[in-house]
Amino acid sequence: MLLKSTQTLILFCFIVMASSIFGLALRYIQIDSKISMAIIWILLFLVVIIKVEKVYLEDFSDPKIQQYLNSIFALEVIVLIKNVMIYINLVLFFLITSPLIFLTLSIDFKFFWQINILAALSLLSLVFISSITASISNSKSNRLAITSVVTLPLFIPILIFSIGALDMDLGNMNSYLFFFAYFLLNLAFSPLLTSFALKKLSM
Amino acid sequence: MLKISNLSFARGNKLILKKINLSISNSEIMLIKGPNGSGKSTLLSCLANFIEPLEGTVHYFSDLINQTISSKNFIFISEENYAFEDLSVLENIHYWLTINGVTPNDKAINRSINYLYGELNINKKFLHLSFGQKRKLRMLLLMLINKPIWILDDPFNGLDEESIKKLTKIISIKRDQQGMIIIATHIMPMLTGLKEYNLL
Repeated sequence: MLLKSTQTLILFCFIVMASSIFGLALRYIQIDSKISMAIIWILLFLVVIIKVEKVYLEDFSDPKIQQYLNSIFALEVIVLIKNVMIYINLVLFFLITSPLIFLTLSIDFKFFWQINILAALSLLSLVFISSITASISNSKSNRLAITSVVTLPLFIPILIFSIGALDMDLGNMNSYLFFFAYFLLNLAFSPLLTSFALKKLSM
Repeated sequence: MLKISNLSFARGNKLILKKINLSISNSEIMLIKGPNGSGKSTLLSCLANFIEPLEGTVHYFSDLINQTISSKNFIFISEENYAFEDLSVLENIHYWLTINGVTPNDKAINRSINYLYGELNINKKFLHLSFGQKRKLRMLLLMLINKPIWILDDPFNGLDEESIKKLTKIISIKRDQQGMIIIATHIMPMLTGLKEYNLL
């Protein structure tokens, strides 16, 4: 999975470039830090959905799913492992590029670790929800590509709570409970739904 | 014994397989024949439990086929390559053996590669192999994983004459070891005592 890091690097270059454009455009305007957070999270959402889609397109093609189904592991376990690897890949790149993003969006560095923890928790849910989206859009029937948007409302709570996170006391671990609870919910359902969609729609 | 009873399969409104009945025992090779689009690959997918039939059953001895039985007993080799393009030949072999619960044994891997390829740089990326070499890699699992039933979808397609002979030999060895082999193909292998089933 880490061999595919070039792809992630390109995606994070996109985040840095896009945030620079926002940063430059809003240079002379006093903007609320919530807008910066919104920009980060929307860009993060786009990167996650593209990354997961790419990995699923390559790693869950027809003959590969057939081999996975004949393996000793349940497809759910393979989906879980793939998602965790994608997550590690993304979270590492976010940690590396976040100082640049903070600079370009003029975010106070006193929030550095808090925002990184928040991003790490959000990314868990984003990756797991994106895997459901990718498994539907990779189906044999092209008509289902549009159907995959049914999963988009699942991303909204993460975006809303992340944007509002700066108002919360980020030093207090209780502020992160929502993200953790939402991740647990996704962890319970996402591998099941993803593997179900892969089995039923891609074969 | 693998027994298929009254198996039908439909995709949308189109009935692809209609009331198929066949059985195969140990030490037998079943050849599934038929023109393009007759449902050979679909039948193999039903057998391997990848897709659910509209009606009918597949039994392995007295048990109805399910995920546990198929993963324990079947090797399925499809028409297309399952290898990862950006991994080397050796990395691909290690990956798929691990997924199948087999501890990679470098001696066995080298022996199988030497038999199928002769000379091959195993650290070469799969992406850089020729078309024929890529096709041969599909067969490597057959030599390295020991499961009683082989389901092979067009295994001879894209192979040169020498490779076809080698694969035929591997198949006949498996038959002698009490294996069951089901092959969907257009190319008649040079094997004796084949059972044939025609999908028209």
